[in-house]
Amino acid sequence: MKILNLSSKQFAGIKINNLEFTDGINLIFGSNESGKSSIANLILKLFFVRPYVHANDNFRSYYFPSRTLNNPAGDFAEGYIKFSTEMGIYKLNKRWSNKLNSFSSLETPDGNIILNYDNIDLELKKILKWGEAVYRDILFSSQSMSREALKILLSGNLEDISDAVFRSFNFMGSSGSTLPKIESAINEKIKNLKGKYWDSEKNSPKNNRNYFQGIGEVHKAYNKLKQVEKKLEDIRILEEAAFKSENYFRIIDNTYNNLLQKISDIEKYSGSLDKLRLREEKNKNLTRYINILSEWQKLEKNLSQAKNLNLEYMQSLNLKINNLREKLKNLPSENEIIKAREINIKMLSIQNNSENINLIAHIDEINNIYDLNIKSLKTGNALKIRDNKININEPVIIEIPEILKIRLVSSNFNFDDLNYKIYKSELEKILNRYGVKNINELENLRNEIQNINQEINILSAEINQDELNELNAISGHEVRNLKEIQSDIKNLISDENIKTYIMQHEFKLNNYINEFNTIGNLKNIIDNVQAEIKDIEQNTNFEQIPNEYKNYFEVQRIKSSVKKLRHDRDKALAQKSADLKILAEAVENIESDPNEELTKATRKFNKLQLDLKRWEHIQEVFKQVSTGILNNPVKNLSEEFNKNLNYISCGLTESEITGDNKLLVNIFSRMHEMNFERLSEGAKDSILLSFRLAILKQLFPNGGGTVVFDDLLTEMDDIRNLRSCELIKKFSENNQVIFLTCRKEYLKIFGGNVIRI
Amino acid sequence: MLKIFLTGDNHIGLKFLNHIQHQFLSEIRVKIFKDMVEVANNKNCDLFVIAGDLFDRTDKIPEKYLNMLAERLGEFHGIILIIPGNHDYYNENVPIWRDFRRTCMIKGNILFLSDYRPYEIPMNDANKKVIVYPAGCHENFSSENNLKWIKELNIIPDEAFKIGIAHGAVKDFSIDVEGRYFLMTEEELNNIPVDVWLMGHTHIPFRLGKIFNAGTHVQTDVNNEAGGNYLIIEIEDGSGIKNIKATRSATDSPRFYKFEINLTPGNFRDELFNFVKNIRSSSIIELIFNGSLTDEEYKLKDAIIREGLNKFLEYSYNFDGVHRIITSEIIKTEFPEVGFNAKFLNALLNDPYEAQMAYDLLKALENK
Repeated sequence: MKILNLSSKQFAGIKINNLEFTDGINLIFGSNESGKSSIANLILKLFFVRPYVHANDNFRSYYFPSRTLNNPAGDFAEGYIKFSTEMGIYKLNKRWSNKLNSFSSLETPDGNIILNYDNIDLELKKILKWGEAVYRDILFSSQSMSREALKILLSGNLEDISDAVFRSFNFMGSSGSTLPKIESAINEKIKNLKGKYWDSEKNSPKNNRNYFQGIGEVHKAYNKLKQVEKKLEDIRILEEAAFKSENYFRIIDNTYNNLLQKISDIEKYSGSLDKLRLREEKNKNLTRYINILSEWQKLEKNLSQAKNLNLEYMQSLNLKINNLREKLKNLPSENEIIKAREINIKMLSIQNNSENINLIAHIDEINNIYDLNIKSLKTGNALKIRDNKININEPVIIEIPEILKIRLVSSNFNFDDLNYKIYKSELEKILNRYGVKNINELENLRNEIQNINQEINILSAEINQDELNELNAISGHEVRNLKEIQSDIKNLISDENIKTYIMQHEFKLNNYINEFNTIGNLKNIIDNVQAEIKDIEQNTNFEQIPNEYKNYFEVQRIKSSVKKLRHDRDKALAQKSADLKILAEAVENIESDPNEELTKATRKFNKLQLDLKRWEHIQEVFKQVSTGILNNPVKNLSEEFNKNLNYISCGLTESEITGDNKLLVNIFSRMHEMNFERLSEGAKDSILLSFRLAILKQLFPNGGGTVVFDDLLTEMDDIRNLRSCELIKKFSENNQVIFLTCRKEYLKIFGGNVIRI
Repeated sequence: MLKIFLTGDNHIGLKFLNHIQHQFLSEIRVKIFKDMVEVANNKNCDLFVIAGDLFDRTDKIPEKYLNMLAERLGEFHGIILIIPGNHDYYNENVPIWRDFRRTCMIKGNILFLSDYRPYEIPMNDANKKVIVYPAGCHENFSSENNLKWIKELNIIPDEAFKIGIAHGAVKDFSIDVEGRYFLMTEEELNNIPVDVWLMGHTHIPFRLGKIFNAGTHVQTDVNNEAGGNYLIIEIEDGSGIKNIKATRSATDSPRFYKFEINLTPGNFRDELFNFVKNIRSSSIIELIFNGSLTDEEYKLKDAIIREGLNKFLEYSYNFDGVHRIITSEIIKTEFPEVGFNAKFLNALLNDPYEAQMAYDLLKALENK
């Protein structure tokens, strides 16, 4: 920007008539209190202060004309500035006053005039690029402002000035937007979008949980989208349920109606169906009667045969029993056997009493010509010779036939004992009676007796008393062989028991007789039933009945299933109605088309997701760009500042600038650190100029800037003065400098455009 | 000859609650019947057929709509035939048909064909014998259509006009992926020897030989792109196969549109005005913008939109895809070249949205 023209009807007690400025140095020369600083202030106020000044504003006291001896105070201040930029020439006019009389206008390069102050302000911000603080502290700084700025600069409490400085060099460049503020604003954007629980990488809530507090806009949009999707899904599920229950109802309703139709048909044919049932029943009976008839005749025949065989069998059994009994008669009775045994025992006892023989006979053979027999005297049995020895414990007879016979007895044995003889005689009688030789053989007969008795019992068990009486009555007939009879029985009845066979057949036969009386009767009944069946068939058209109804059980099944099916149908209908009602209610409660809602929710979610990604990228770029430039300006500023100060002070004063986004300025005079109070006025001026020039270099590295220096070098010594002027002149080669001074020498030093006020 | 006015899927009672003009949009669906009946009368139609979904649902249709509708239909000179659709399906418990029948009772020309049986229509011209075979809906959904009873009738074509009226999806012409909406095939419809099939359910008009579907009389939403239509069908006299002519006409009814417009900077106003100039004002417009605008256009976009779209019944728009054009020249003009802001914005120029977002952020901070 370059200032071309400045004028004012009244401002801070001065009038300015059309000051014209050029490139390079513009020297405004005037005595003290000629209004030089006011010019600097006017320029600043024109650009930055709104025209409406309320009654208590200090602006009035500073810049409205105060009353004179004879005239009242002025009630406005005014100014006009013409300046140029790359876009062209602008003309700005302001009148500061009350609401009614305040005024501002900005004429743009294309001739448009803007009256609305807010619009003017916006436009000026664009043009000026830096904020008010930069112009106030650095570019259009008045003398008092400069001192104040320096104080702050050196105080360490640099919020305001560092803001201005930061703005002024590459940290941001316009008012209101420091790096931290921008960063904070970006972070705020991201935070608002992301919230606490959004996972940007997965594009979903963290841990896939539901969150509703502390969530960002993306998350909210996501929740909304899910809500809408759920709504659609719920409707889909309800529709699905309604569809299924409708389908099911229809199937069951069709089945039910078909069933009713069938029942109706069945009713139509009921008469014929009854006849059909009747015929079936009669046929069934007929079959039974015919079977009975056939069986009856056979039954009688078989029964007679069985009875005869049974009788024969009994006869045969009876004969056999009798034979066995006869046999028994020729066998000893149990008493006889016992008696014989007792006699024998007595005999042995007698013998034993008269015996005390306990010998072993060693037989030494002389030759083998003769037989040697040793027999028991009691029993007659031969004693056994073992190893040419015999144990002799009883009376024995030792015999060599035709040679020798020795009776070896105990000395007290008496053959002539009468009892022994009697006993022996009795025993022999018994034995002889039954043809046995000794008591053992007699006792062996006992087994035979037992067997015969057993057989008699078994056989007798087959014959009961009645049969026995009957048998006795017909005794005398010739009886066939038992085996033959048994074979005939087997042929007739197989392995069945004949008595059981006869009983069963008699029972059956009796039943038939009870039911039908006679076979003749049964035949009559059969004839009648056949006639009845024929009659039914002649008088009823069974062909017309559908086949499926002819089955009685099927008809019954159809009829019985109605009730259950009706119940199922009613249930299905209730379910269908309920499902449809729920669906209708759900649909009715929907205010907007859910599909449309889904489209919108999806669109919004996608947009916010995209915005988040964009902000995150913006954040990355911000970090890259800010990191890139962060250090350099401080370094550059520091170097430039120090270089300027060093030059101006001939090396006596040095500076040090530290800090990242705070500016910490330390001054060393002759190596000693100094604070604001300790500095000389000249040093202060040197520092301020050095600092401003250093910043100006950052602000306008390629020139094109405008700066106002207001009586800047007043406290410097000559050398510092000269050196400062050199630096200013150097600066003015590419920039516009408005140098306000009351010192004539600067006219010569600088030359340039001289404006005397 | 028999002349038939065919409409259907009227969805009277649709609420349009997500529209500002919801009341108008609801009412127009009934009011348009006046025009349709007028056309039917002017064209001397014998029958006015509503092929299902006359109502949007089975319950809670405002009474004033029923009265209005009955009034309008009552003005038709011929006979009105109505079958139930899947939205306004019929059974004895459904309120809407009870209420509507009560309302229509005094109008002697409205026949509600609820049963699955042939109906012989009492025509004004006694020489015309018309038998109708309705296959309306008795439920909301079904995997089976209602043609079975007609197939079993063994219809023999003769001089009588035999009209089939059915409601449901037609394979390959209607969307019914899951087979829930009484799906019919062209083949099975053609195999039933009626003279003509008058169909309902699909909102877009179509013709397949003797199968006619008029679509809806007023567009229901932006998703079906056809507007409101009706058909006038003429069946010539004859025994056996009869000749059929049909004409389709659009109703004068609101349309729904949704467009995406790509903007180029500096041309927003012209592009918008050109785009909408041929669209009727009785339309509901939704525009989705993409692209970029100049700074000035961006500031004035809402005003430009208002100016361009004010003529429409209702409009909505979305600017999410639009960004203000930020160029390096603009950056240079508004920010110190060497300043951070300029460098920052220049680094974002690859993504114009990001550049704008950062620009707006910086400006907002400035203005604080």
